Amino acid sequence: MVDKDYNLPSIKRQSALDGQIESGRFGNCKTEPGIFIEENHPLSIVQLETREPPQKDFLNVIQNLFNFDVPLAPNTSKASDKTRIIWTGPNRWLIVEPETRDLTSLIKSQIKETSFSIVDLSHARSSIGIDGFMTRDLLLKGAAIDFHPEVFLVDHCVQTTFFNLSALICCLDENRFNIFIARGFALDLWQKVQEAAEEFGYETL
Amino acid sequence: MFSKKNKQQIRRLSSGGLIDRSKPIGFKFDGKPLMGYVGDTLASALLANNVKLVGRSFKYHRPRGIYTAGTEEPNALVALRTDARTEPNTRATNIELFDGLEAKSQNRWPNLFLDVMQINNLAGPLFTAGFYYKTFMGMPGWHFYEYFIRKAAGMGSTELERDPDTYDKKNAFCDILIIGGGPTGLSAALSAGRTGARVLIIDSSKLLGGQLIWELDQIDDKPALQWIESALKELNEMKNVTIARRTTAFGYYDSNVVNAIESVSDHLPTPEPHTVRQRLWQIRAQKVIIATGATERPLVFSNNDRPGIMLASAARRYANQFAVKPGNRAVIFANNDDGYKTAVNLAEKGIDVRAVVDSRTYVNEFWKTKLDELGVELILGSAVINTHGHFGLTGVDIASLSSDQKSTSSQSTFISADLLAISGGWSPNVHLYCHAGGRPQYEASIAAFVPGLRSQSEYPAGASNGAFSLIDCITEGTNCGIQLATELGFSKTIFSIPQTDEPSVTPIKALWRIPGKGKKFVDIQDDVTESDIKLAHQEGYISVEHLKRYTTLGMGTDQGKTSNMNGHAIMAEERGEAIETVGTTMFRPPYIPIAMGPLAGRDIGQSYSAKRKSAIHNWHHENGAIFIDAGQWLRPQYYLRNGEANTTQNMDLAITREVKGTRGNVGMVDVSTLGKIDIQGADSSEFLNRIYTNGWTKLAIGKARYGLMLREDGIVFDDGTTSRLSEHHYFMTTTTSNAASVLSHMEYCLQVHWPDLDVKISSITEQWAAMAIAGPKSRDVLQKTIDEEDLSDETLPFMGVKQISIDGIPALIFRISFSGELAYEVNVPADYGEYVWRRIMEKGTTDNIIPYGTEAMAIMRIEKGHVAGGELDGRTTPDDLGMNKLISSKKEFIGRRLLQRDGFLDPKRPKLVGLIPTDGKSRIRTGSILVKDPNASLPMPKLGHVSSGAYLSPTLKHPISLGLITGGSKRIGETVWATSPLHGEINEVKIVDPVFYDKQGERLNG
Amino acid sequence: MIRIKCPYCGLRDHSEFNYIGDATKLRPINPELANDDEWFDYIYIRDNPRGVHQEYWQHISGCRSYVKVLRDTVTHEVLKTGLPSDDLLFSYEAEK
Repeated sequence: MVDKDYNLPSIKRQSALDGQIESGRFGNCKTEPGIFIEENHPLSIVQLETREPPQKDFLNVIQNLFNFDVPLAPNTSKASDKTRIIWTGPNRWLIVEPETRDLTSLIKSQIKETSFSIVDLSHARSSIGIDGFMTRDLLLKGAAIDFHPEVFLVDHCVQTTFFNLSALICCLDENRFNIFIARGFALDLWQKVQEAAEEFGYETL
Repeated sequence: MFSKKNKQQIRRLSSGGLIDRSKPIGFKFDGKPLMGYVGDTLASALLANNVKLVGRSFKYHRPRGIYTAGTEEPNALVALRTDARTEPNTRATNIELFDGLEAKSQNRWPNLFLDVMQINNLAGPLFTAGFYYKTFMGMPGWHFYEYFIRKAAGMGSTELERDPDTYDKKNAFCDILIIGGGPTGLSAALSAGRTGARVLIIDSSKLLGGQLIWELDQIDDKPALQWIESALKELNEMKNVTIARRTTAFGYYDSNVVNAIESVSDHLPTPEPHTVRQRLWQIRAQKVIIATGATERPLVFSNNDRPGIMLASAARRYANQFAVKPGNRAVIFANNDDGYKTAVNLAEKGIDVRAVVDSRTYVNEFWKTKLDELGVELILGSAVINTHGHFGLTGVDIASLSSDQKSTSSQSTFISADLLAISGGWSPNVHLYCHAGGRPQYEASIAAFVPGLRSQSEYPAGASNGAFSLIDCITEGTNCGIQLATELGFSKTIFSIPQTDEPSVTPIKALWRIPGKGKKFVDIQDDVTESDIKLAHQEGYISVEHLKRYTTLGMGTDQGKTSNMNGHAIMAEERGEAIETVGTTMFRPPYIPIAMGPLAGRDIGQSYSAKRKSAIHNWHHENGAIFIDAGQWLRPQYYLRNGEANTTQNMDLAITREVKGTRGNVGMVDVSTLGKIDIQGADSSEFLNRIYTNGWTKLAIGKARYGLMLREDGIVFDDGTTSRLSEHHYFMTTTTSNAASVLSHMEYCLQVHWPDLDVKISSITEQWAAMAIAGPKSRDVLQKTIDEEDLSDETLPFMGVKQISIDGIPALIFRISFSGELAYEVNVPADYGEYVWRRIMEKGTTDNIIPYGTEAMAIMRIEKGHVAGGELDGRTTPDDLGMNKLISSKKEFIGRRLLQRDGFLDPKRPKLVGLIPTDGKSRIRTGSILVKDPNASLPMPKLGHVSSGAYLSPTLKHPISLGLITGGSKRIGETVWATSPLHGEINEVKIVDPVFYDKQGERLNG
Repeated sequence: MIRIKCPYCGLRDHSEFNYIGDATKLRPINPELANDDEWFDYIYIRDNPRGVHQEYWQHISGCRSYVKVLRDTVTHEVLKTGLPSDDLLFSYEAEK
């Protein structure tokens, strides 16, 4: 898309979960719910890939755009208040922020060289936020990843199978995680998370 | 649930035990109401109520009683609960008693006391190893007999209703996993936990402590229970230690993965709301301490299976833990010290212990003195040679044993008894060690197999490692915990080993069988006797693996926990070889029977496979779509209108409506499921050149091209259109079904074959909602929908690509056609998919736009002779499909070399043709075989097959099919026969051009 | 279950990976020059060794990298993993 300004369509985006979610408290909620589930929407998600390990120019562009560096270590992310950049593969990152501007075009306008690939995945992924003191226990039901708080630190992320689906799981805070999943599976995952959260009691927001 | 009136539990001791006498519970066994206490197992409660007979044996239907007090139980298998929650073959010894529990005995008809199949017992000599096969297999009518034989044998029956409970799965991680919470496991947890290592300790019981729970040992001059309590207190305070109760490790797999079942709600009548019944744990540990203890073995003598005969440790456990008298008059028979412990414990609880019969000729003074004090007779160098009674033991015959243990004195003494507690020694529980890949070795000093070399990171310790004394268990556990934590980099801590009060041990003397007549059961669950083993030996089944399969030794639900050692040792004696030479069979998972529920977890019914939905799914759902699975995707197959019922007739109407509507006016189909791959980088054109058969370097920006991809062996892999968006940017589409494999294939090429190419690819399937608008009025409808751009032939010719906007939404529009009509494929970011779809439908109302599904789509493509899944079946070459014009001769590409092999150039290869039934109406089944003469003699020469078909073509008004036939287009005009012998179908078909409709392709232009 | 160490993502369950196949066969570097036997060998001839085997797995649910895996076909033990360009067998033998 070659939009010259970075404005967004005026039409409202419709998420894969729109109209599918009943909000309220469910399951074993005798006391406070152990889990809070919400959809993060709408997001801007842009994938950046460089052919070689990133050069200084590229790093500078990112630094200028977001005021922080891309994370170079696998399974990590870096974030500001607004934007999070997640390592997703060798020389590959996802840039995620709540949608306020045409992020893809903005980045394209800054990076001109062909040795970068810039792919808009804003609509390709659905994101589910999970919070609450039982979050790490819930994640263990779906993923064979060690979520112990001393092992899986804040800003850590993994791409793994989560309830049999390929997912990207990112730790935002002690008990707060974002799950990214292919859009078409969003409802399926939402239901699986709900089922798994039932014994902890959960609230959908 | 039942009357709380405290019915007399006549065998309950007046004091002691870990039961809560303030909490009586009612339960039913075979319909009879009984009472027990919180803390009981079903087995202990049955014994308290003097229920001795609990089942009938597998083959001979002999009366059987409770034989053990643990997981190894071979006899007391009951059907637990009722109706849909019925669980057959459940060990009464493992069931925690709950209020309202109902259990039924199994393998008896009509009831336990009158079982018609007892006749098998009288006909006993007939039912030797291999009996059924020897007798019936050669005879005609095996299938007739089989029904009755299987009915007579077997265990409980399953319930066919759906299980109303839910099951869960979880993963767990730790530095050190400790399996078993007995003295070894607790000691290891303490020592490892104190270093700061992450420890997970699991135990199958509610109470940790293992055997210490029910032994009367002292640790540091205090009852062992106090030691357990303080250990648990310390462990509970350690944040790095997790304790999982009622959790049984049942399998040790590769990469140090241990699976366990947590019985979350098995101790309750029904699970609490929002709670699962059981949970499957998959534990990934760096080190695993196996502290699973040992299992006592029975002794093999005549009629050693009567109700009232049980393992010595079990008798002691019932008295100590459950305050139940396992009998009123007891005889103990052992070849090791364990019997003495039982004799002393029982006698001290007021049970009349008549004698201790020890096959050895010596025992230390400690036990002699104890027995003297309690007035228990000690009979050394002797054995029980037979037992009496039917539904319960009435007495035993005792004779002295020769020094080689091969004969007994001719005179025997009868002692009246209703309990015979037996101990043939202890076998370390090496099951998990075997699962891990270990091979146990025979250790003569304890007459048992013990773990040998390690294959993964498994560390057997304590009794499961052959160290049977309490002090050895504590010491090994402590040391093992420290050692492994240190190896993982945690620092040592100070610890001390407590004192125990155990007497010195007189070594066991192996005694594998006692001479005598009558049935001597080795495997009491499978009714395998000593004579079966002798027979197996005589007939040449002398290896333990053959022995197992020939006699079924160790093949029951208990996996031979009490029987394997005796059976293998008897075979060794028969062979006249050492036990270490003869060896033992390997244990395999699961250690205990596992229900299917927790293995399936929540992946059942509709959740069996994930459902993938397009961005337009809700619209389809609201507008009468009937969905069909396309891989994981749900796609509209056709749309019903105005409450039409989903009948075959209405389906045909819908499909006809959709094809006619599209070809006559305009139709729209959701093609979001097509694979889409973004390709960027300076070498993108070169990359496409290498993976597609046709050329790509000259494709203009803003143009699309149809591409054909081969496998390396020259077979067609996938097809689709790829468009050039800019100099170094392409947008590729793949078929729905191959989307994932095409992406993987391309990644393979880039990462493995050509890492030097500057190309980056990523799946963008989910980014774009895609809809194909087809039909003569498609341009009109689309023109009305878009904001400004002109869609005329000049600005958007066939195979053109344009970036446009719809109400400000950016869209990619491709002028491509699968239906053969003037058609466009509109791609918009997925979150706008439904909006744009609705807009187009709205704008198309006046042009009678119609949504169409996969059926109509398939019919239209067959009408046009376009190939799809049926033709791209992994066996066809481009030439077979008439696609030779897509093979470039000017460049290299994947699959090129193998295209040139002789087999592919064979003129007899089947090639693509069209087929029409000569009667103009018969349905030709896809997959039918094409033959020249359906009456030819067999084997009938095959000319080809039908690859896809439309039983109705609304356009042509008769069925059409595509097929592959030897000779291909040279046969056009001929008739052949399409046969499906399986369905008895034979239809004459005429061979025609595969393009049935609009051969010149004029309709593409509207 | 086997656990495979992805050179990027770390130790993961094999269910995150797709098994691809033998990694000992190299595609002819110059396809035009390779003769029929070389092509036949590359496409069809596979050893089925008892013991050490070098194979490709793709970390399909992870970073999507192709991972070379040196695996013992008897014990299923994963001896070494690396990138497609690594010769694991060579380094494994050398370390031994």
